[in-house]
Amino acid sequence: MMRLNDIRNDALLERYLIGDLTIKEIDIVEKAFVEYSELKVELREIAQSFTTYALANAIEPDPITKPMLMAFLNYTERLKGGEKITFPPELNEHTKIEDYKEWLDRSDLQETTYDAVHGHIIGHTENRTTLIIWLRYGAAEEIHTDEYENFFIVEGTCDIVLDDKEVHALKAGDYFAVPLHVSHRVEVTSTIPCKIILERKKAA
Amino acid sequence: MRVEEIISLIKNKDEAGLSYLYDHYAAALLGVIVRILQSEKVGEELLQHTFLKIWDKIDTYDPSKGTLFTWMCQIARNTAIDQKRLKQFEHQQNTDSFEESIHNRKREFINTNGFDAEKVLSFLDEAHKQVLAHIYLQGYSHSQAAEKLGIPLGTVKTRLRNGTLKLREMLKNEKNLFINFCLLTFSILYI
Repeated sequence: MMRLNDIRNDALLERYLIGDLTIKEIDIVEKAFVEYSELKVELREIAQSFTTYALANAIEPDPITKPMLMAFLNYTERLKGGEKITFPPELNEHTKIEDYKEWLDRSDLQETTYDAVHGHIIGHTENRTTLIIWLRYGAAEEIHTDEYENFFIVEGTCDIVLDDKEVHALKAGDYFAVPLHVSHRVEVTSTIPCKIILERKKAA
Repeated sequence: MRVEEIISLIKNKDEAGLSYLYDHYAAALLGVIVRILQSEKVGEELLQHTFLKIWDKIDTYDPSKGTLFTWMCQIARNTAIDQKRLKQFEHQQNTDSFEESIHNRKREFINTNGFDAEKVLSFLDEAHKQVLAHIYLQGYSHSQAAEKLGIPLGTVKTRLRNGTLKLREMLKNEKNLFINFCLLTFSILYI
């Protein structure tokens, strides 16, 4: 059995928490937990210090990351639940709202939160992801270098601003393709959230 | 929300549980991910992978082996280290200039939580900060950190231990200064 001070001096608890121990060392620490109950208290205190440290060095994620994560999670759970994969048509300047009726009418694909951005994936392949999204206020500035982003407005209105100066006012039924390498943001101009079919397509 | 409630929501496949974890800890996890990669480029993508793994693997979390946050951090750390190996990421800039480049994206916890985590860290000297940064944030093992910093392995362990001890003392002493914060969210902050 390793002595208490050796465990402390070797910083074994600190390294146990971050996952930097060999299997043999893990075994030593876990046996020591049984022998020395005070180590459990120390482990918790070290975990708190580590959490503080990580919080002090936190970096704010892009606001779109969370809605995209939640949409993807929701989609994979739907598929696990037996939902059949569907292939929504590609967006283009001739797209009509009725082309997406199959998805827009589905009761499980409606807005269920009051988040600033909410979305449901309706189609996902290696090269293309299609979502129904609701923007309450807009979407922050971004630039795409390897995928095209195309919008089709279903409800409400918004402005898509390119390069901070070129404003494209969009209403229901309008299609807009954002060029690659151009900075763009979305500003919702309607009182209701702007409901959009959003398509992200890998650039060839 | 109590940690048991969060875990139970996720085990029951309730997205609200993961949403809650994201709101409180995504920024801290992203801080770890981008510092391991020394690149902001795929940070967000790996953050998403990390949360999907948390969702899928929640049954493997064992509270006797650490807190939920340290467990999530291990997932983030391993995800970032795997990516770094896969892509053979080059450290194109040194840590200082990288810190400058991400400065604007740092979350101001003093404003959002009424708790100044940076202040707690200001009591550490540079030698200790350097070791903690390499091991806690940048994904170095203790032996890799010793090599990178050019100091003996024993010194790395001592600084890791003493630096963490200082943080622990600081937290104990400062508890009464942010007592309102602690009363409201202590169990949440240190899940």
